Amino acid sequence: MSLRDIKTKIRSVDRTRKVTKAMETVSAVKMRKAQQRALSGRPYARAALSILERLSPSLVTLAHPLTTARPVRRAGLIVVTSDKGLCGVLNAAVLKESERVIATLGLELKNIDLYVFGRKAAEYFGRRGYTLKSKFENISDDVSPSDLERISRDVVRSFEAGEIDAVRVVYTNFKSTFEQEALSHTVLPFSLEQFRDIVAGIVPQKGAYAEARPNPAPRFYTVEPSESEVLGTLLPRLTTVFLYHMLLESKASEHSARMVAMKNASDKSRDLSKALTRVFNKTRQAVITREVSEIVGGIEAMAGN
Amino acid sequence: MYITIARVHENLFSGQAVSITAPGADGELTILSTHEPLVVPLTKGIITVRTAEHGEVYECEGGVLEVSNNQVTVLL
Repeated sequence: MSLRDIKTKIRSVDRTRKVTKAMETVSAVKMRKAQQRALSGRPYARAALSILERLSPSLVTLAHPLTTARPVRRAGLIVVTSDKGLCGVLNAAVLKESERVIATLGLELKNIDLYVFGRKAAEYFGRRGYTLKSKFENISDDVSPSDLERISRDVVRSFEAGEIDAVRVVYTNFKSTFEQEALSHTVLPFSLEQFRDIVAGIVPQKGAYAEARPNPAPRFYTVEPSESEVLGTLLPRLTTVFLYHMLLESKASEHSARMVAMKNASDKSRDLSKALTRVFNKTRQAVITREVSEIVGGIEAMAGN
Repeated sequence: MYITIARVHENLFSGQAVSITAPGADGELTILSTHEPLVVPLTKGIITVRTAEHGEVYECEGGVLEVSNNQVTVLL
């Protein structure tokens, strides 16, 4: 490699580092915001859960269409990925988990209704011949309430109408900045345990945001006009909370995964640029040495005459 | 009486209040302090919260109202 080639290469590596460095910083800020937002949905989720728990310690006694399991002939699957790449294995993990869920459902392609958030999932499933019932872009950092309402109303309505017999979700759970995992849950038929798990996930175990404020259940409860009507209002709302939370978790995961990926890229390019500089210096030294020895050789030859 | 009114993605109101009027499924109802424990679905209408100083109004497209231990929780 000539000196000039090496120099060009060093410059291009440095430029790449500037870009990855900038993306890292941006992702760090976005990640913090996403985490904050995840906490804002918490009071609602907790209140909804406690109402439900007080209504009935176990949903077994409550025969509501949304809590009744039945044989699965057709299923809905909600997959959340990001719109853009450059975030490590995040999307690949979600897609792999979705494939696993689809395999366990054991249904034909045409019997699976897919609701996808994010362009990555849309592209992946679009290429493989699935029916995309609806797709949403996941580009903004805020979760759009209208998209959320629409998808939640749609799955609840389809489930009640018997068009689909189960609704699964696959998303990325945010554990920490360095750890995200692809998770799958059953949204419908609704189960109290499932929801309790999710609310537990919203409230951190310890730290600044951890809090436990048990509100003891009253001995008697007036339920008007009837339990089933209260549940009819409450359960679709819980489904919405579920989906909302899932989107926020995915957002937080996306940004932290991207931050880590970009940090690795920046570090790598720094190493590369260092190594290239060394090669550059060595080559330059060799060239100088050669030139000097040529000059010396020339002088000696002339002195000999 | 402590009142919380929340939507999935935002908290609309939380604080002490004198009364809350909401459109229940069986007709409008007003909750005052130390109301008995109650769960009621809400229909489309307007929710009015009266605090000691002023009143606040929220639109309601449907939801659930719960009263227990002198706490009112409204989920829209």
